[in-house]
Amino acid sequence: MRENIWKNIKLGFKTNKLAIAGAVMILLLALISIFAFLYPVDPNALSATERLQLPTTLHPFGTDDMGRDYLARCIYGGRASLLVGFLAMILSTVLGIVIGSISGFVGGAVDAVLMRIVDALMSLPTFLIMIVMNAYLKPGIQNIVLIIGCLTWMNIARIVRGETISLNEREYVIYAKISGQKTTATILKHILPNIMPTIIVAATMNIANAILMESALSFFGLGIQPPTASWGSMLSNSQRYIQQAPYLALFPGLLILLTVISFNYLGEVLRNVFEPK
Amino acid sequence: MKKVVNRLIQCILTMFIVSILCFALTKAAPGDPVLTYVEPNMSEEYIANLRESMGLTKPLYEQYFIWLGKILQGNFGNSLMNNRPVLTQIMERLPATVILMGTSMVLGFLIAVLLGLYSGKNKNGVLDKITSLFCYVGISIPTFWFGIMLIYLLSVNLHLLPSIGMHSEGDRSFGDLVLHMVMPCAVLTFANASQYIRYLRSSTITEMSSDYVTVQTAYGMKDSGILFHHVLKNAMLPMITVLGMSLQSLVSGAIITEQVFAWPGIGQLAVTAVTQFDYPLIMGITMFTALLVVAGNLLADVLYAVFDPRIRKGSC
Amino acid sequence: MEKLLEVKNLKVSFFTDRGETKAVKNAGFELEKGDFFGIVGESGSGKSVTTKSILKLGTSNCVIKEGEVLFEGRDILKLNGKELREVRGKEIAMIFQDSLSALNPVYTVGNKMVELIRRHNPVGKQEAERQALELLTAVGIADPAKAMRSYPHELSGGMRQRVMIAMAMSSRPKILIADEPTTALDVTIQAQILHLLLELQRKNGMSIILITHDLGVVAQTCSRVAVMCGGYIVEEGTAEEIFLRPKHPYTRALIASMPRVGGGSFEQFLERDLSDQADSLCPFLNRCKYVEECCRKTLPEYYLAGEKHRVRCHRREEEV
Repeated sequence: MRENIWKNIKLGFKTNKLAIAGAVMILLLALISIFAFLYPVDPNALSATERLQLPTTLHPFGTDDMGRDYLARCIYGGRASLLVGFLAMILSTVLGIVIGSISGFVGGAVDAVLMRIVDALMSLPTFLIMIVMNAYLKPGIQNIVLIIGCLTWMNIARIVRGETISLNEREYVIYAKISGQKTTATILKHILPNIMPTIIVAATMNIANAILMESALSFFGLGIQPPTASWGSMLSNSQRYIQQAPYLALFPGLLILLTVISFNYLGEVLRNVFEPK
Repeated sequence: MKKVVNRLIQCILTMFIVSILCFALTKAAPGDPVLTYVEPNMSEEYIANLRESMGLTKPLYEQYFIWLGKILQGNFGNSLMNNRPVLTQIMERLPATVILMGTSMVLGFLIAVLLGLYSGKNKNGVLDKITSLFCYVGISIPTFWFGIMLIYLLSVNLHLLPSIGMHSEGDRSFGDLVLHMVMPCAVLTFANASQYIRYLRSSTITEMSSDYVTVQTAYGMKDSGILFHHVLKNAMLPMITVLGMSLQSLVSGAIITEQVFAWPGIGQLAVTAVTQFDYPLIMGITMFTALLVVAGNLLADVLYAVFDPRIRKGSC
Repeated sequence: MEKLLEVKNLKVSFFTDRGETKAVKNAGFELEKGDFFGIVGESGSGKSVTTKSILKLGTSNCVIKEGEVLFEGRDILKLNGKELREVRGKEIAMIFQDSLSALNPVYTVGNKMVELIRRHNPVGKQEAERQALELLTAVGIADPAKAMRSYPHELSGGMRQRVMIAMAMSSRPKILIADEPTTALDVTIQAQILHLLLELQRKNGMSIILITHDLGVVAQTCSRVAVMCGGYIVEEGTAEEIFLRPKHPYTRALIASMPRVGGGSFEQFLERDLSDQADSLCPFLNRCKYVEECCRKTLPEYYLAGEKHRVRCHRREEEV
């Protein structure tokens, strides 16, 4: 079973060159974020003499309105985005698995209430709630992760619930129950491994979404706060200088697009691998 | 009939939970609501009276039901910023948002029918690959960045289109409105259409491989006839649900788009409300949009049942 | 007897990401006017693909690599779109196993029947409706007017299959291909449908190709039978020859595995072998009890075991 999945993944990548490009792109971004210190430029170092410089060999991405090196800011911005994306994904996946499996396994009134809460959260315009919650919480990485994580677990909960209910009827799960295994043990041992592929796909796409949301929040000045670099706030800032320095808007936007598209594409490839038609 | 009633009860429960969430958010708001009315020369006693008259001394659940009762009567309270009724402000902004969202929904749907059907039919063809790339970019591009880029290209550089607002100064003509709408609509439609195309493409592929297509081919029907007569009708059915479900993300997208293009709609109002900590207004908008989304989804379910004979004749 | 349909040397493959899968490796048979021809074989033996290829009904990844399908002397595989549509449904009609998914769920039966009748005949709407009612009555539907107004999901499986047959008959085809038409039905309904097919065949003088994995169904209806295994037709002959004097070990195994009333010896059928066999060897090789040295070297050619009874096997011994 497991061997088969690896074989499928290999095959999926082999037959799809773009999938490799996506995976390489993500790996590259992750490595750059981790080893950001290797680029020996302080992203927050101001320079009054080097304001709004076009890209040069000294500053490959140019400088912003305060003379800060734009490449360094892009690197550190990416670090923040990826961090938020991963952490929010982990939070939403954990929440989704816990709530979804409780709902599916316990059923009855608990299930009904939990699913209505999911419905309610899914009918609220996510972005509106995010900016509302931001009004209460201090902006900062932890709170952004918290907000995004708490508003994106519903799709995973629904998947987990559905699968749990259908697996609940299978012989081996019934057998596990009859033979006196504890509920949590049954879920962990028999149900989770079976729904892992689906969860991985959903989680990959959740990263993409979380990064988009973080950048949008930061763009509105509600996310990561200056002077800490973030692609969203850099874009927001670039609006004022769009005429003199359009590259300020170009680089962070392209980076967001590339990152998000890579995760979305990876998710799609994984989906095709796990759920062959 | 039973299903319809069940569905209605579900919707009401959902809205009930939404209202509790909203109320909780209002209560969790930092700051004492009384303080907005307090002036320095008021006595302690007066403030206490004021607190009681505002119903703030009652137990929380009682406060909630009083609040809910008012909302059910359409009384969303007054805005803290300008003391005008929340509902009036929402209604003033509603047309702008509806025009924007409605146009992009319809446009997105039309584009999706064309491209989704075609690329589902000619799976792995050249146009399918291009469409697929288009969709990936569409769902991955940050809306606000796309907006900025459009403004830079079309307004700042080429001076083709007005960059912000809904009308030019003193110009209320339809043509002027259309010019202002082009960019925000393009931004919103791009994201929308990409979603729709993906769904329509995959349901077209599913339908194309179903037996009745083979049967119709075996009975000598033309490919185009099968596509438009048989596949389209079946592939459209799930699209009703998709359209309903897209409402939620459409509202999110509209908030961002309105902000970038200074479009005077509800989204912009919401952002202003949040930055001004205007809680009654925030809650009003949240409740209102949630109601819109729930009602939209309900409508989608009803339409689905109307168009799908399997459900229509099965349940009622 | 005149030759109506001749399939020669058919080879069909599916192409996926994982490469080529040969579904039909070599199939050929002849159909004469008035024949009730059965094709039997286990699932995956290529019987369904063979018949779908007759009307070029494969999915886009299904490629007919070689062969000819001669219908009244014309090669169907070489026809252009318009000519092909003339043959499909009008000359050769087809019915399928799953009658629920074979009918479009969002249209009523009447709607589809009228459309179908008008596609092949230049008649008005009312005339088409009249013909539809007639056809539905002819296939034994008790209340045809009600059936016309119904959606597919509102009819029973047997009713739907009758509707499918009525649709197929609407253009008075010369050949009716029935792909597992009774598999999804109860045994009693199964018998009714088979009876209906026999009756229609006699009345209209058409030929029927029946695909099934159920030898019992073949025994009830067919005049001639082909047995398919692993993409090859391994044995072909009259129903009598095949049932009473089966030659190929695969055919014998199939017959032996038929459940019989009253028990008796019930030979365990060998499990299907999914390993990819070399193309040029006998498809039953790995499961055959009588494997010999020559079996591992070359693909057996047909030999005649009687008049019009051919067998693709190296062994030519007498009755066991």
